[in-house]
Parts: sequence; C-alpha cells; structure tokens
Amino acid sequence: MKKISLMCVLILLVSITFSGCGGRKPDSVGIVQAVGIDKAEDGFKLSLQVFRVSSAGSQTPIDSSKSNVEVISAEGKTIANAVEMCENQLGKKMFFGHNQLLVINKEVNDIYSCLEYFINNFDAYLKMVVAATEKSAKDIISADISSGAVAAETMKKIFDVSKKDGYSTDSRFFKVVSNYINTDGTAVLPLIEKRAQAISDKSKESGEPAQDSLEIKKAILIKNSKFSKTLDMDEVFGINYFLSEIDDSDMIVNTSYGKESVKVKNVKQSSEITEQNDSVKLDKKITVRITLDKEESKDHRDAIKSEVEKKVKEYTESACQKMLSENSADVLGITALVRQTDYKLYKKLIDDREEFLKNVKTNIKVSAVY
Amino acid sequence: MKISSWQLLILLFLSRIFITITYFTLEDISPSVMMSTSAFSVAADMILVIPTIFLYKKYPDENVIRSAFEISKIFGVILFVLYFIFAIFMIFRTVRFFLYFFENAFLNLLPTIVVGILLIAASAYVAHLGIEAAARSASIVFVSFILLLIAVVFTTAEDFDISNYYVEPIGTSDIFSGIVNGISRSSEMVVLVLLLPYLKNGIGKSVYGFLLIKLLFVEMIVLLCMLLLGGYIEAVPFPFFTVCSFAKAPFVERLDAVFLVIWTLMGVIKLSLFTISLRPASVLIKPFSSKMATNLAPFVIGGIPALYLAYKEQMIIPLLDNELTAAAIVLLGTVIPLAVLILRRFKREKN
Repeated sequence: MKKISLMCVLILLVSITFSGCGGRKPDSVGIVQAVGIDKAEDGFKLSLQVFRVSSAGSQTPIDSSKSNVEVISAEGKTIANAVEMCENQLGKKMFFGHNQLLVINKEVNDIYSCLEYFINNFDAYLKMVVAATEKSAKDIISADISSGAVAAETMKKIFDVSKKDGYSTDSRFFKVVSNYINTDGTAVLPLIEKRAQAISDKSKESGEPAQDSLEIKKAILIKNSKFSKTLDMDEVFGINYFLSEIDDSDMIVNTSYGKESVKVKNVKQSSEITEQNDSVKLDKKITVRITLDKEESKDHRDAIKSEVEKKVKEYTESACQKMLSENSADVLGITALVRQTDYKLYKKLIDDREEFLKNVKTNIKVSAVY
Repeated sequence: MKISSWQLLILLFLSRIFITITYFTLEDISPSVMMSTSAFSVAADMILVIPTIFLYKKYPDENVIRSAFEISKIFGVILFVLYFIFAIFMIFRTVRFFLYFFENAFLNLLPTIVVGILLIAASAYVAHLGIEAAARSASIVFVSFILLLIAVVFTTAEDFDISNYYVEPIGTSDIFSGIVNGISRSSEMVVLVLLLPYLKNGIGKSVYGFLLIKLLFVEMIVLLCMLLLGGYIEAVPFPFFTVCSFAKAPFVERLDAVFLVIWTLMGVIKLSLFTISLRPASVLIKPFSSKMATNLAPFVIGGIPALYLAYKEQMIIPLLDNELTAAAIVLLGTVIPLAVLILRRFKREKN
C-alpha cells in the first residue's frame, strides 16, 4: 500500500513539470506573444510577435527596459499555411500557449477562419484578447511599447484596464467565440489604434527615441461573420452598462454645481422577459453604485445621482437602439436571456433571429446608489 | 482476495468517469439535454442491474460464468468466450479512444505509440497484481481526482457565466437516445457481473452508490463545461480538457498536465479491470488457467490493433455504434445474468 501511494504521489509531482512547452526545447520553439492578421491578395498575411531570448541592444538576455520580441510575417491561403511559412522563416515550431493578443484587420472577410485556427490549436491561450484594427494589424503588434520586456503583455494590460473602465467590451477569445457561435456570427471587438509616436517629457529630456502608444476608443460589430458597423464610445459604454461589465470606473457628469467626477464602483442588473404579440419585452433594472471623492451636501449628491442615472440610461438606450433596432445584432445577450427564461419562446422566435431582435422592446430603469 | 463495497464503488466510478473526462463531446447534443437524460440513463441502469444483485445474493462466491459452469460446462465456455470477446473489444476501444484524445490534446508531447505501449504495459502489470492492488491504487487516484476537480472549480469560478445555463425541454426520443448513449458508455455493468466473487459484502451499497455518484459527477462536469464555455462547447472536441486547460491556479500554470496523469491512471485502472474480472472464471478453462495467459491475451489481442491504428494515424474509432454497444452491454450485463439465475433455479428444482 505504501509503495503504491508513494508511486502515485511521485507520478503526480512529476506531472507538474509537464506544464510548459510540451516536451519541446526552448530554442526550437517560437513563443508567440501576439498575432496580427491582415488581408492578403490570396488569403491572409500573418504577423507574429515572437519572444526573443536576447533583448535588443542589451547586455543581458532579459532586460525589461528593452524589447525582447521580434515580429515576423508570412502570407498563406489559410492561417495554418501562414503559420507554417512563419515557422520555416524562423526554423522553429510556433507555440501559442502564451499568446496575449489576436488583432484582425477590418478588411479580413473570413473572420471565423481566423478564430478556428486557435480553437483547434489546443495550446492556444483561451483568455487572449481579440481585437480589430482599421489599419495594419502588423503595425499594431509591431508597436514599439518599451515598458516591459514583452510588448504584448503591456498591450494586454491596456485592454484589461480599458475593459474595467468600460472603454472595451469583454473580448477574451473564449467569450468572443462563445458569443459568435450562440448568435450565428455576431460579436463586438474593440477597435485598436496606434497613435503617432507619443513624446513624453522624459524622452524629450533624455533624447531617447519616443514610444508608440495604443488606444481603444471605438469598437466594431461583427455580424453574419463579417465586420460591420463601427461603434462609438458611448455605445460601448452602453453595452458594458447593460451587461454590468463595468468595475471601478470614472464618470464625469454635468450638474448645476459644475462638472463632477464620480467613481462607478460596480453595476448590477436584473432582467425580466415577457412575451408580447410574437415578440419580446425586456424590462431591465440597472443599479449603479457610485462614490464621490469628497463629502457633498444632500442636494448636491442628489443632483449627481440623477445625472448619473440619466447618463447611464442614455448610454444603454443608445446601445439597444443601435444593436437591436438598427442592426438586429445580439451582443446584449438577449437570445441567451430568452433561452434561459422561456425555451419554447426561444425556439419559436429563433428561426427568424433578425426579426425577433428588431422587435425586442426594452424598458430600462436605472438607479444610482451611494 | 476480496475488496470492500467502497473499493468496488470507486473502481467502477473511475472506470466510468474516465470516459466522461476524456472523450465525451457536446457537439451533437446540448449540455442541457445531456444533463436531463443522464438521470433517465441512471434510472435505467438501476433497473438493469437488478439480476446482477440477485445473482450475488444467491451465489456470492460465483460470478456469472462460474454459475454457468454449474449449469453446463459448454454453457460456461460459451459465456467465457462472449465475455472474453467483450473485454478484448473494450480494451481496443479504450486504448484507441485514449490515444485519439492524447494525439489531439497533447500534440508533440510524446510519440502516441510510446504512450499506448506504456498504458497497455502498466495495465497488464496492475492486472497481474490483482484486484486488491487495483482497488488500493484506485482510492488514491479517486482522492487526487476529487482534489483536482475542486481546484478546477475554484480557479475557473470567476469566469462562470450564469446566462449560459438553460433548461431545454426533452421529448421521448431524447430520453430514449439518452438512455442508449448512457448504457453504451457503461461497460462497468458487464465488469460488475464478473467482479462479484471479489466483493466481501454490500452489493447494493456498491452498485447504487456507484450509479448515484456517477450521476452526480456527470451532471457536475457537464454543468461546469456549460457555465464556463457557453457556445464554445460546440467547437471543442474535448470540453472537459478545455476547462482544465482554462484553469489557472497559482500553484500550477495549467492543470491539464496534472490531469493527464490522473486520466492515464484512470485508464490503467479501467483497462486492468477487464482482465481482472475474467480471472475467477478463467481458472476453469484450460488454456486460460495460467494467470499470465488471462492477463496478457486480451491486451495483446485488443491492444495491438489499437496501437497499429494509432501508428498509422487512423482516426477510425468506433467499430460498433452506440446502439450495438448498448445492446451488447444489456445482453452481457442483464440478460445473461437473468438467464443464468433462471436456469440454475430450474436445474436445482430438477435435481
């Protein structure tokens, strides 16, 4: 018994060392940190940000002040072809287990092929961020962001903060794919832009080359598996308030007392679905918990509260109008909600998904609490 | 050597859950329907197992083949051949499924053929050590499995999305196909019929405990996949594996590697049970009276084709479809024990 126990414990302990690059030597593996996909004449142009052991211009192998990545590109009819071409260029097998970011150019038509490669690749990191860009995806992943040894990690942090503040929707890979499958090809991706080189005071003084910066100010809708409308910031806020995806964010409101900064601690919501003449009525209650930086009078606090409620209502109604009435796109989880509440109604309405979404009537009530 | 009812319960459970955590897919069936029909499938199992329980109560030191020998030697030999063929087929199927899973989920980790050879060799060795060694190893694997499952639940809990949960109404055809699918995955019902002489006591506790715990864990695993993966579940061939690779714990970057070991150990236990279960009856048949022959023959006959297919990278897996497998399990796990019970009663009355 003791021998058997000892053997099992030893096997389990040894197994912990199995996690990693799957029996491949580090020098024969290209550790991919970010992936960019652009449209090519015949297929896709794939760019990979790959970890490099020696950092650029540094004495030490890993220097967090220098970039430890290189970007390689190749074209292929499919993503798998393009990955093979990249592997041939580098002489290494590509490993996607540490991939943080997948950027797809707006011009790419076949979005599911891009996602499918990573679905079928069991190494791929399921929580990588998926984003879109109006310009070159290669440019985005080649951005010279020198804070941190690996630019993709900094890029991922930009997305994390944007998501928390409500500037970006939840675009983690598994969420995007899940929504895409549940809604026959609908999803929202943050639209990422590279800004012209930002020259900080520090770099001016030191004479060091200025850095690139990335920003997320919009989002893009994927509908029927193709990139569709661009969404402005207010609509993205609306989606995030509707889905309670905002956490510890700031909001500026105009009151009779002037401009006020409010901290939105969290958002909670409850929904009720009722059938109404072969359509659906959605009653949504959104509760926004806010705090102020300093003590204010009751009237002042009430004025702020009322402005927050008004603003959140505007955001969410605008998002509903754009997503449901104008685009019949389900990024607000309406079909999932109907499926959960009344499966028979869901089955009845889902055959004509577009019509069903177009006719959804929403009644949103927002209340702000301190 | 005898084992307790708890040990039998754990052996049967590990053997069954091995299938759920490796190669069950939710591509053709919604998780909601799977959850609902699992309960019906277990209810059917509870009925199908009744002849086995009666057989044990009547002849606690005999299994179905030994009982058949008491009726007629030819009948005994025929049954031994039937169960032997079943064991070979299940070994072939289990090895092939595991290697298929390994080939896809752990690409380039180790050559598949090497993994297959090690799996078969370890299973043959455990079978050689006997039921007691298998039962003791199973207890440790069971505890490890529970601990890791808890770790997966806790490390993925923040990503659960309650909107992914829904209840889909089911009809008679769903229930029927759910029962057939459930039975086709329950080769343990046949193994149980053969393992009876090893059991000290408490057949009811073992069997009904096993069926209830199986239901609980299958429901839990499907619910976990449903809440976490949502629509993604339809795109992946091994949902539970995806959930494990998803879990990010501070003590281990990706839990799938640890799970691989537990899966492999479960596979070893499942495979070894097929030959261990043949042992009590094989002593009555001359070519199989040697322990080595009973332990090795099914692995050689069933394992080598599975290894060959893996070597040739042939992804062909099921030789029999679900209906046929379910029919074979009902025949060997219910109909034959019932027939043996009736025939022995007739024989006793005649005598």
